[in-house]
Amino acid sequence: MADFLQDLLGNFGELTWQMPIMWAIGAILIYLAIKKDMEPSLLLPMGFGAILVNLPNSGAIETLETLFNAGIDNELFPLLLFIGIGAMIDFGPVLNNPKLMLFGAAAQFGIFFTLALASVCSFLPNDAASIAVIGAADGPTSIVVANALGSKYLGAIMVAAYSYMALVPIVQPPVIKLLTSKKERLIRMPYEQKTVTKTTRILFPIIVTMLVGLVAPGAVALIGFLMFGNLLRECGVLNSLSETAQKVLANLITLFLGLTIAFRMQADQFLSPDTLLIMGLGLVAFIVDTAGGVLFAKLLNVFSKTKINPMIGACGISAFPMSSRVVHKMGLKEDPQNFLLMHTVGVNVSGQIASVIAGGLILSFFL
Amino acid sequence: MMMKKIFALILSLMLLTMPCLAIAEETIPAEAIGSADAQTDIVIADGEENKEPAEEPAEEEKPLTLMESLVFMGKGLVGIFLVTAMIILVLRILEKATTKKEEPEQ
Repeated sequence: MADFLQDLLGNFGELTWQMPIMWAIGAILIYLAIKKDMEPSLLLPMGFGAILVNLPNSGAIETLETLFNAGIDNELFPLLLFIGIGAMIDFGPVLNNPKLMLFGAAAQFGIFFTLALASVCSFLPNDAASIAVIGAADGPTSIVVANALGSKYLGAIMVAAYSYMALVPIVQPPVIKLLTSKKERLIRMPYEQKTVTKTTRILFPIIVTMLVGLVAPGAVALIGFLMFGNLLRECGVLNSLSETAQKVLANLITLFLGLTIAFRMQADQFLSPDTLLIMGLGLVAFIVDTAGGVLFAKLLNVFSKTKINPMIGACGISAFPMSSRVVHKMGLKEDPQNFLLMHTVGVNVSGQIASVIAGGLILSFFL
Repeated sequence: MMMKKIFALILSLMLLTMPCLAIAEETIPAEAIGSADAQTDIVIADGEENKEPAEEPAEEEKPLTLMESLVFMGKGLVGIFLVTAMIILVLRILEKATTKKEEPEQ
């Protein structure tokens, strides 16, 4: 009888104090996903996975390790996800007004600022660079860069990246309000619809891939897969593949990605003072990104006769379409007749490209 | 007109920062930026004749200094703006080329 009870309940003796903490973190991620509707497609699997890998002698660890080696360690999952993301994105607003891409570029300032800050916090160069890429506000880019640089903080980086992407409606508005005046927020930007030819739409992904690849070869996989997905969408002859990429492929990979990332959320790897520091640095990256975009717009206003509403600069982060909606709503709140949506969407999609360029440059510098 | 001003601004910023970055790179010692080499030091027990010479002590990888971070920041921002400017330029050319092509057809 004693042996039977020992066999049955012996595993309870393997519990460590860190495991219930990780269960709580998993539960919080699940709560945020379900109750608050914050990036549920990723936070829910990550939360559940955190519980799975933090049970004593968990049999799930080996399975998740297999998935991790099959899809994350070789960067396959995030790259395949990028095909789906590329197929979902309509670059029309940015093709309509290409200078909006400048705001996407400016909003990546937070990445390099955070690199400096992480170095001051004594993170080694590869870890500092991986943490800085949280500022790209792009999950696949963060995974690819952190993995390629061999960062041991992949789990914390992923949790930070996806959590803050979901917190954009909370993080961005106070920063935007702090850096802009009421008068600036009321600036109207009329939208001129121009015809974007099909040839332009088809050539755009090809040309961007080649340009980015020549400057930052480390980014070829990221930008290439993103633009391949977009080419599937724009070519007009592969509608079924485009739909498959947008729906089936994206959902399938997202399903595996969240669960597999949890492999790096085992208590001994995740629970450390460094994790808290990484969460803090991630927040700084987002804030400085937002500030960078807004301040760049204000700088352009000094030189240009046609005034730009500086709020749109904040959309240069890659959190699409959340950021564009947040800024558009802020504009409507200030002036119900001020429709900034097409501009904010244009800046937001250009941020997607700029974040990949930034990730590729980081890889070029540190690999 | 605004586009020209924007390009002029970006070009002038790049032209100003590039020499600064070059100077900064020259002044930062090359060994300050690099990865640590693995060290093997085999010590043979007493009585054995062969002894492999010990390699130089490995350089511990250190966090970037503030100056190094600023150099990377400069390079990164110049790189992003450069690529963005190239993409905008290509889009402008494409727009003109495809619009001109459609006008004669009409």
